[in-house]
Amino acid sequence: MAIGNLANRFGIPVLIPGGRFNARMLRDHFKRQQSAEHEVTVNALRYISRNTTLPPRARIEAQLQMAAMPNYTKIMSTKNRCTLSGRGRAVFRAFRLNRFTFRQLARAGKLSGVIRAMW
Amino acid sequence: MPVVPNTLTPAALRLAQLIKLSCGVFNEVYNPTQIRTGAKYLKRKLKGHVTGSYYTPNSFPSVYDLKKHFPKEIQHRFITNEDKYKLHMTLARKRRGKGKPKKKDGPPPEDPKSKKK
Repeated sequence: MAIGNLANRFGIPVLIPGGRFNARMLRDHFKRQQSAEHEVTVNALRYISRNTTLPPRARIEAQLQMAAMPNYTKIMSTKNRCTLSGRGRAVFRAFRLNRFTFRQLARAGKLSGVIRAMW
Repeated sequence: MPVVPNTLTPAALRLAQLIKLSCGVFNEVYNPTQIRTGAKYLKRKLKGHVTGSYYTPNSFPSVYDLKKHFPKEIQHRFITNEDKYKLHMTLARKRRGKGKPKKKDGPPPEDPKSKKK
């Protein structure tokens, strides 16, 4: 079974995605895992730094701490890529597929609810 | 800081009191002067579990994973379409004489460099 298949990135173990994947998908997958792990911390730091009722020193400390966090812990660094081909452009969010992969699968009748337009 | 600003007309004061009461009822923070408390960052729903599971999960078993849990006699029945295609292509190549070359029998030939002339 594929459970426990790990890759290593910056000394941090990363769960690899299932199925076929390429380096860019793995990179993005790593960012997603890391941002999910640090989400609560980032939210707490953001709360402290944006709270005007707290002492300025605490706020600045929180801001510095946030700035010191690695880029891969930021959710904005993730990119919606095609989950099959790995392409980063023209990705349908609802299907998580690139336009061409979507077309191929839709023509093969592998996407439920997707039919060819006819009128 | 006054809880309800006292420099209000009676009507506005009444409205402020109403809003304060409503905040108590609906469990909201009464913030008449609109100070930035950063509460919205704590109120936000966590979305890490959604964004984190974007790609195909690798915990989903493949055909080959299932195969291992069955007795050896019926393991050959677990064949994917890719396997079928691969076998089909191999047999087709073989028919055209493009199959794997046969392995040589006997010991490997001597290295010509090591020979003394």
